[in-house]
Amino acid sequence: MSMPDDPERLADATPRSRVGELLASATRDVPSDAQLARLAANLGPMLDAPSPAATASKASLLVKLGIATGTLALLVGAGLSLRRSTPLEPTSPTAGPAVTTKAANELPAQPAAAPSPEPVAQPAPAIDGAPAAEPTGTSSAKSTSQPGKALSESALLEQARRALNGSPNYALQLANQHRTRFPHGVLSQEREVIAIEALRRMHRSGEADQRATGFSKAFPGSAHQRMVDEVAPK
Amino acid sequence: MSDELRPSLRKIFDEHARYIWRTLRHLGIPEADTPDLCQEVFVIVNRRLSSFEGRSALRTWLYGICIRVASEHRRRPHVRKELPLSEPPQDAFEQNASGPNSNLEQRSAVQHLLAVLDEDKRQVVVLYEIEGFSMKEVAEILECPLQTAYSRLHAARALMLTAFNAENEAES
Repeated sequence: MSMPDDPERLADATPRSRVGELLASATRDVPSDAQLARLAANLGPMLDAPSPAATASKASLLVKLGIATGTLALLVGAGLSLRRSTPLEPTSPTAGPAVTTKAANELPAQPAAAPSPEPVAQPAPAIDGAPAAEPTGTSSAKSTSQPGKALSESALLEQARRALNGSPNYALQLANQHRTRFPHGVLSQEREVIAIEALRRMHRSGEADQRATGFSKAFPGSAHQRMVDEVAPK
Repeated sequence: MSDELRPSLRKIFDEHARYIWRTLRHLGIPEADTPDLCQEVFVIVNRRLSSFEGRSALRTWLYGICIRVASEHRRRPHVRKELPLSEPPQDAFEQNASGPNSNLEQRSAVQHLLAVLDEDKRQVVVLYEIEGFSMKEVAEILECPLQTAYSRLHAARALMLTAFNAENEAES
């Protein structure tokens, strides 16, 4: 919109100069529908996701629901084991029954639901600009068939986010894989939030706190800070 | 701004993505880098949307992010230099097919014309002459005094005209 004092735009001048014609033609230089569709696909579920503020309270609710579900599963399991003489199959200590099945169905490359060894040592908290460290030791991340190897940055994190409910260990592996593959990725903040939540769900509070501190230092004023504070309260 | 009034990222994308893309191109972002940078703009928009308070118009806020993303990108050491479109880029055929701008020569000429400007002047020209912002909005987006924006526009016009005439003279 022009204000009264604004000079006439070259494209609006009469007669229009050649420079004005070129500038007018520049407004027609827009991407194709296919290019926009690819961009939308790369942004993935972020486009239709609720705002970070809404996600923060939802994440908190999910954490609480996960804890409640896990507790209920333990109580039911304990009750059943008292009534039956045969022992139950061991179950993953972090997985709620319903969400585990759903998440497992959605994750073709996910390791088996049986408890798997945790990564022996996790790299230091990710900070943009610093080179990403490879996970050390013979972690389960290395023993799996490189889950999500060919995925794009956003797809990799989406898979990690979906794995949070049923398999936080797998979600953490994917988040760490993201850090290795995309050390300067545009979704670094989102990756850290997932990793912190995964660590918290596995009751690795010390590492979660450490990573949360790294997040606060690396991304001061981040819109995700509230979510990090809820997941890993100081 | 309340959450109810705040537009969704989807709505912002649908209404503005093509213009953000176009602006990045006119700011000198190479064709190959434009999709990534456009994605980066929307990731930042998503991150900051909850703190957008509506003190400025959404479009002004959005273009402010776009300008800064482009500016930061140009400062990265690995950034490829924009080359004149001596050969149609891969996407050009796709663009021709869908037809929003089938004139590759004209696109190339626009890029040549804008390339004579330094970053500050180029930003003013793109925002005012192409994207249709008022000079007050341009100054707001660029976080500079209004008079500075006017000066840059004036100088940019003179430079473009000189470069255009010089090229025409050389050709004739």
